[in-house]
Amino acid sequence: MLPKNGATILRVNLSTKEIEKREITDQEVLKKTLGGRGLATYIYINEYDQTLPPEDESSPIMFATGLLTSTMVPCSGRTSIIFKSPVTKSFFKTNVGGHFGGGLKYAGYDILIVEGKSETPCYIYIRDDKVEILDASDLWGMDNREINAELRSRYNDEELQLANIGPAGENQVAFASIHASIYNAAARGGGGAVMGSKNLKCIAVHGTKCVEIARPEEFYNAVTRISAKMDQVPGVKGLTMYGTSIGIESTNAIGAFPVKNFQENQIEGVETLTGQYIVDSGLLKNRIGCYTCPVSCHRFCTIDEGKYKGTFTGGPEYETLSSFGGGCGTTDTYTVLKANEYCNILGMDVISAGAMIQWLMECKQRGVVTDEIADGLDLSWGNGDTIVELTRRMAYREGVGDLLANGVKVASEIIGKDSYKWAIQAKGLEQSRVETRAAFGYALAFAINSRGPDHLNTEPLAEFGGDAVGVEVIKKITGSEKYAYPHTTEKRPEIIRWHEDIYAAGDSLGICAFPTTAQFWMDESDLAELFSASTGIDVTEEDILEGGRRTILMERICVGMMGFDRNDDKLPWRLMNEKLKGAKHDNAINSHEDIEMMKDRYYELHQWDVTSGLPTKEIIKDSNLEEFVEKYSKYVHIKEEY
Amino acid sequence: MKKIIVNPKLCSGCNTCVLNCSFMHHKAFSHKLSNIRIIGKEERASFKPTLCIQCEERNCVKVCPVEAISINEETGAVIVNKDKCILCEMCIDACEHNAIRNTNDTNNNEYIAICDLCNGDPHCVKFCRLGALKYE
Repeated sequence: MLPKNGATILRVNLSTKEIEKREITDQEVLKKTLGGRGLATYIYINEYDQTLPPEDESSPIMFATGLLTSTMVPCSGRTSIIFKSPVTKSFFKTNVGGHFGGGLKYAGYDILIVEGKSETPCYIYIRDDKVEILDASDLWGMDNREINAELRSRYNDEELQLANIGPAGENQVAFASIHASIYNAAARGGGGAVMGSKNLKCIAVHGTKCVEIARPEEFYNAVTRISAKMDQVPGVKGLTMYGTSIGIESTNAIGAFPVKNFQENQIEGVETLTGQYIVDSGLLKNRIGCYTCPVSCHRFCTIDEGKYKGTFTGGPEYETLSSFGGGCGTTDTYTVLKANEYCNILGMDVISAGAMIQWLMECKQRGVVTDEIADGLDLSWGNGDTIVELTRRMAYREGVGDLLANGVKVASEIIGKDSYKWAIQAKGLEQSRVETRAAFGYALAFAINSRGPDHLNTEPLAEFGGDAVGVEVIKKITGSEKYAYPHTTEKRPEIIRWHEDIYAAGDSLGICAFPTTAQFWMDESDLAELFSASTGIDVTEEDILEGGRRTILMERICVGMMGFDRNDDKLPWRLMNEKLKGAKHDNAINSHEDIEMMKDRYYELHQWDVTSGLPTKEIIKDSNLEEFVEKYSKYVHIKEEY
Repeated sequence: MKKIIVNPKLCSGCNTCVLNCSFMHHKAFSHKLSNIRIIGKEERASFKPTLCIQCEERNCVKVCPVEAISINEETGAVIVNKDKCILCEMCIDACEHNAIRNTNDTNNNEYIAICDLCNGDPHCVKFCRLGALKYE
């Protein structure tokens, strides 16, 4: 088990009921993948067929704990989940906090791979060396709170950790999420639907083993030093205090807050959607920490009055308040919280679920549908009852919920007319809540992201130049602080590539994106020190960034083998074809020319083939991944003269 | 004399204290190696760090049949003499704060785990950013 003793892989086949454990002790592989996300991606290419459809029983879903998960390193408890997405039909990495990763690690496993498909509902129970596939017929239909309560009671074990799906995953809703610790979600890309397709309700784990590290004293010194750095960054205190929605008021003020399905960029009365309001109004009852995260940006809120009295849920995050709030044309906090609770217990991605409602409301606005389609629910912007009820219906595929559960790409194909123009998706994934027409680095990052247009492969907040540490990072990457400015295409490819590298390395080590790519209190030299001291394999900061980049390359190898190329690297139609209208950034757009120009440079930086936007055999070899060249060449044919 | 003060309302359940305790005492990470546990209800986000708070009663000392438990005069910490301890678990039953347990170390040797205040410099407190644990 990592970090000290190589990686332990647990493979469970739900078709054959075969259970296999094995070790990866090859230091070269550990060093070049950095463990976690990188190692899982490496195994995925090495051992699985990328061309199979996502629903094929041989397509695996992989749960990769971070290399440092279960150590005292702050913010190191994260787990990457890797699968072929039923929505994008492409490679998908998602990532979750909570405490599940810790549980898996203490049971002795770094990566759990689930293959096959059970004929009837099942769950996997792991208690150290004991691994069982058990009947889940009586658990099917339970929501996320119910299944946690039931299994903890069944095993009389309050330390049992679950990664599970809710009814939305069972119903294979396109944006069904996988939940850890009830309220933490690996939300995007339909991982919950993949588990649902395998008839896998949950993985329940309790580990009692010890996680050891190679050089304890050196490790402790590094952790102490990094923790002290964390305490010195003012933004960390703000994140603890007000959570991820701390910046909503300023985002709205600069005209970068997507409103009414990205038709507008500011909303009146935004105050009630802010982290500050959540605290000051008394809605916030506690802060929740992911495993070993002393920042604890996650929220816990209850509603104690009115028609939603009795609501209690983790959240809301920035994305939730933006998606169900401004996005749907309301500033009513209670509406957002109730929709958030449904997503959290029924198991859906808040970004996509909110995006579906926005799209349907715009369909009504433009006369493409009437309220009849939603059995008479009033589809006017901002109708709270409708927002909440549609959220519930999507999870159960009831009425119009069945249409919306397909995701916006498919739903807009079904409704037709011009509705694709306001289907805010690319690659099949609904865009996260960033107004990319007001931030060109984000625009490039979203376009080239293997997942689709979202912020969870790259988080280039620094381009806004909002704080001194971010400006320093931009200077480090580009040579000048003048590039800490989001309304230019200049140096965006360089900025995005660096962010992708450190993000991927952080995922492999299990580190949250906030310390590495948003608040910058953990950099590549810190990661190198932690990797070296914990594994005993010495790496440099260059090795860390190269390891991250190699993961991006491996993902791109998958993307190529799955049949995609640069033509798929684009943004939603609206953002590339409609100018932003609003008080700020009037007429801003993510033009085709700007996006293509930035992509050219981005591919060049990677030394990929610019025509196809795919890796050449040479760069795969040069990146110490020669073992993949033969397989890659079977599926991807690009000119050799590059 | 300083004591551990617990404020559960400020605890986010992150377990940083648990792992710091485990590491400081055993140079390895595991909940079973820690003298602290977080007891709570995840669905209500209610978390309570549970450890020895150097109570007035000191029932653990009183009930020990072999006088294996004593109080450190300088710090006030409860100290278990492993050579004397017969693992009878009477101290566990006597503790009203649920702060003692029987566990196994990295060599699988059974022992009674109680907070020893890290010789007057408790590491759990040092790394608790939210202030749920204080030493004052």
